Amino acid sequence: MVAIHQFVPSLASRDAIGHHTLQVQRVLHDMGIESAIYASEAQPEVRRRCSAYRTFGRDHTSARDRFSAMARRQPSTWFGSARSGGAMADRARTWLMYQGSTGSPVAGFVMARPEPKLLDYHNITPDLFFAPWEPHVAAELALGRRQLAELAPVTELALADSAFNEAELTVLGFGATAVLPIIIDTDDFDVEPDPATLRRLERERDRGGADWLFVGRISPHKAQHELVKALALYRRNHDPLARLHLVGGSSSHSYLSALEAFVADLGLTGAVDIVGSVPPAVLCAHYLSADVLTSASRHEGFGVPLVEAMHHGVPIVAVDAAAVPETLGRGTARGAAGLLVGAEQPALFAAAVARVIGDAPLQTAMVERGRERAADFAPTRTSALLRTLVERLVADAPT
Amino acid sequence: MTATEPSPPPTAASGPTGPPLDLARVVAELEDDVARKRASGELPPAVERDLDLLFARFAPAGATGTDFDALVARADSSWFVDLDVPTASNLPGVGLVKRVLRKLMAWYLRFVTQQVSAFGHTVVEALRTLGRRVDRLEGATPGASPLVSAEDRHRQRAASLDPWTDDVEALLVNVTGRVLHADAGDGSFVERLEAAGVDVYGVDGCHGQLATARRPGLDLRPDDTAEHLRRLGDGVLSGLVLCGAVERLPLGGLLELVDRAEATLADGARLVIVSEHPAAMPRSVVEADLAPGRPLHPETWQHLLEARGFRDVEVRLADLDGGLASIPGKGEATTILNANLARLGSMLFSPSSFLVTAVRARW
Repeated sequence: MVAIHQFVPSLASRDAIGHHTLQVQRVLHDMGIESAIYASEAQPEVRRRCSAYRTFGRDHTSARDRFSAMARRQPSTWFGSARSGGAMADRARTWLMYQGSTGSPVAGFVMARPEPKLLDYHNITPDLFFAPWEPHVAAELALGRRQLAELAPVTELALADSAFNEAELTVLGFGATAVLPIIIDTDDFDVEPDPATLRRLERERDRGGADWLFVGRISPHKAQHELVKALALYRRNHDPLARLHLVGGSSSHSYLSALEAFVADLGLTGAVDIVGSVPPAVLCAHYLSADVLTSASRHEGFGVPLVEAMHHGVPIVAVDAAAVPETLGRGTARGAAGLLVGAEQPALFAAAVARVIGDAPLQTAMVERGRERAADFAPTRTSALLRTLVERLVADAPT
Repeated sequence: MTATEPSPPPTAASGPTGPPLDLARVVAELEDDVARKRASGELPPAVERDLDLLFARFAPAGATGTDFDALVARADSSWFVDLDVPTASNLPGVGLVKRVLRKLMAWYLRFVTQQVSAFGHTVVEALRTLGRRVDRLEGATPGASPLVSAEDRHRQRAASLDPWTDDVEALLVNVTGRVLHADAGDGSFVERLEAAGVDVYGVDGCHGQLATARRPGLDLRPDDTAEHLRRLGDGVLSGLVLCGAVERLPLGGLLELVDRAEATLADGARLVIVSEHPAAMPRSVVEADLAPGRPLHPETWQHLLEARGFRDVEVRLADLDGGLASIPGKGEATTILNANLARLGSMLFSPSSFLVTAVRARW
């Protein structure tokens, strides 16, 4: 029996990595491969779908039974009490896949195990973004980078969400690498929009003004304050009624506080809506009401909200940084689907948004190209890619 | 909603088989538009700067750049180690325990914290002294001052290569190996060299310039010349064209540039420098006044290159920029008068630019 068990620091269904982990498990089960998820933390809605990572290896027999049960019907009901993994008779046919995105004791646990390792790398935000705001998070991220380097010599195959991430792995000395974009279930994008939110947003639209949308956590490296600056200039130069909706939970209380104070000082409290984390139906309503998706993020290993916006036909203006251009398709034969501008140039950013909103032919071309690009990340394609990579891995493994 | 001027789509993109969407061109247009508005005063640079400063008020030191004064101010506000630990608690009795512990440990912690605070205060004072010294140093060395660098960011590009393109092409057309054109601008000369069969690529620190590159397939990279040369390995280039940066870098930067050129060029590789003549009227007096550095004289380049072991160093001067007309006619008086006019002309007028070429010789 072939087994690939996944280890993730934190599992949450609304989080891109958590969602991807669950999708990877689905593909592996479809292939008849035994696969369980082990986590350090789990959100209540997915607790039944994973087990505490330290329980791996304690009781092989019962764990195998549970894995089989899990493959047949999910969710099962054993978070926190599982006895799993263990002294596998055939370790060569069992891999441990670490979902890497931050520093975590889970990485140390995986490294200490004798089974061959796989890495699925989602990028670790450079600690310098967090150091002034959340020093403890910065320390965690720095640890993550160190752990990544330690994983290099013991990892059989390292997967990366993007060529940008893969390049980081190559620099760190990972031998075999491959690009596997985050597996996104695009059906999840097309949920019924929340009617109350839709009505509220429509009422605002009726008063005039463009709607800018950003989706992602409030975080220093995502630089929402740059969007606020751009909005301020946009309202001054182009559209005094424009609004910005920031959808996503917060990763830094101090950054959120500074952002709120900045917005208030600019007199934009009514124009900048810090929405917070929302369920899919509310998020869908925001996409349907947005004129443009804006992103000033300085560091992304991939960009799920970019794909989601392209899927919904929302044109994109983004800062040209990290894996953002790659996600938008720059470097492909058909070119990027979004306008990419230099960082920390709010006037240019505002001008770019004005151009997209005011230039209907351009907007149509961008939306059309965006839909094409979003189709590149269809789950059928990414799942097939994962299947191919796993089949090759299993075929090359000693029996 | 205020709409901007609609324009034809960047391509006739229609369906997956249509041509690629050329959004880089749209961005280049926008950059030009913003630059024009900045220059006309329609978009005062102070507006963007004010936004930066406003956010910096709410951000911790180090989050919005590494402003020295802000960092020192931050250190100044946190050098004192407060012994007065909060003791409040929601749990019954815990607050009381905390207060007792605080009182019991105060004698010990005070002894330690006073030393730590004194150390912190000394370090902050030392930093302030150091800062004042650096300020004086920066004032005496214009190229090092961040204020000068900030002004130089808004410079217009030099176009000094234009009168020399035929000469430079002739010098490089038979070079085998990689040729770098530093400060390549929109890449027109890279395109020309590539068409002539030269294995060439370009770098330019001005992103907007590269965005307007004539042909998308050109190997043009957004990179600062000095930074790029620092990263290159030794002896990897067969040719190097320097222009633009050589006219505005401070002397220290120029000398480093020459050293890096020496290191990155292979034995027998060709170095070409095109520069504005320092004695000529600058294209823009405002830019010249605000630039961190000045162009060097051709004789200085010759000296610098020969001192680094370059051979076949040759200087070519452009035609005189203006001059005094000769008096027609013959005769001794006319000849003397014309000779004096020629002398006067050479003193009053200088060539607008010059070209220095040399061959790298490794021992």
